[in-house]
Amino acid sequence: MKAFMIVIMGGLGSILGALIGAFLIGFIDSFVTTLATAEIAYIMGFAAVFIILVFKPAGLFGQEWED
Amino acid sequence: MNEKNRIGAVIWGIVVALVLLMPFIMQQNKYMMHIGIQMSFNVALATSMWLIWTLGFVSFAHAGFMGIGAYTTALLFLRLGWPIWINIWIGALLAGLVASLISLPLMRTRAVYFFMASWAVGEVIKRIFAMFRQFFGGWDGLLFILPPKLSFLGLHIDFSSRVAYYYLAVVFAMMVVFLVYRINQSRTGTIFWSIHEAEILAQHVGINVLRYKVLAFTVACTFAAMTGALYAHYHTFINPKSFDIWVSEFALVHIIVGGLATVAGPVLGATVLTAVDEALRPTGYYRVILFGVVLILTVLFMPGGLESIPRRIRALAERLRKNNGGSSKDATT
Repeated sequence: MKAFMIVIMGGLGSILGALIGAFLIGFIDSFVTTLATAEIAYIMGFAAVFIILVFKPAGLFGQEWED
Repeated sequence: MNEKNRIGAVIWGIVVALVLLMPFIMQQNKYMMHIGIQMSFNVALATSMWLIWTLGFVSFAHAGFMGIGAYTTALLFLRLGWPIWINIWIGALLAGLVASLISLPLMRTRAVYFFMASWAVGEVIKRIFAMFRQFFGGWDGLLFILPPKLSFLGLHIDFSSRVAYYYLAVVFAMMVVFLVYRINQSRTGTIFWSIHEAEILAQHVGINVLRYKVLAFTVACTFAAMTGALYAHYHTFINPKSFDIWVSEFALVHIIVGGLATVAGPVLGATVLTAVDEALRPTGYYRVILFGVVLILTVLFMPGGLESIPRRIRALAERLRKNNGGSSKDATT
């Protein structure tokens, strides 16, 4: 489930995107869990995904979809 | 066309009559009534989700908005003692407000990315319910949400009886199906389908795409919230787990198995799959496997879903008749 999140956030078909996305989610998870609670870490992770998808609709390094 | 419409109206009439007479056919069997209520909820959810689908989106935030309706109703009932008849509208209003605000950024995304973003929205809503232990009750949820009572014009109905609640749920589901059907028939519904078919073309023709997207999302989420309110008062207990992604996922399976083209699809899919699901309850975890199997089989062998069965039968009969006619002609000549 988390892997899917990361891949979509980084942009489908982009290895660099998957790498950066994994780092981002991992850092948010561990930092917020130590600083606050695991519950807030989960929310922050999803919020990060949401915000990135809103500002970059094709993920961090994905190509724009032409349909 | 007219003939076809009349046949459709007759079929819908028979279905409505059967559904309303069901408690008497089932001799008010409590378990059967429970399944009926469950079916009504699923029909309402699947139909409202199908409204978003007419735009070409699959929203996984649906369960979250159901949760907003349920929690609003439950909290107002538990803290202030207000009846469901007021709370359900407040819950719907709140969910509609949240949906219209969240759909402004959400609708920028497309396809898989929309699925991911809406999933994030639903999950965040659920986690927020879990996070505030004092206010929302945390993972333990809220207890003692009693079934409503109605005193109206000297009429006293106690909805703690299954049959009364069955009628409440069924009438609600019918209302949702009827409204979604009317929306789909109207000009707005046509615009939804045009956005589904070719978004860029619709935009160039002069349709404000974003506005219609927000409209569809808001209306569908409002229906989901009202379903949630009824759900809370039926189960008398809610926790964040009642509104996680599986609820949306099952609604999606209902739509796909039922058929995506008309409003009959989600109704049929939700009814049939809920019945099958209940029938398989003794087998334990196999029913979860069955959902996957049914979904794959439907996509492979019946791309139109259950609603395409009459058309298929008609096509088959046509072919058989043609074959017979051809062979008899051969015999005579």
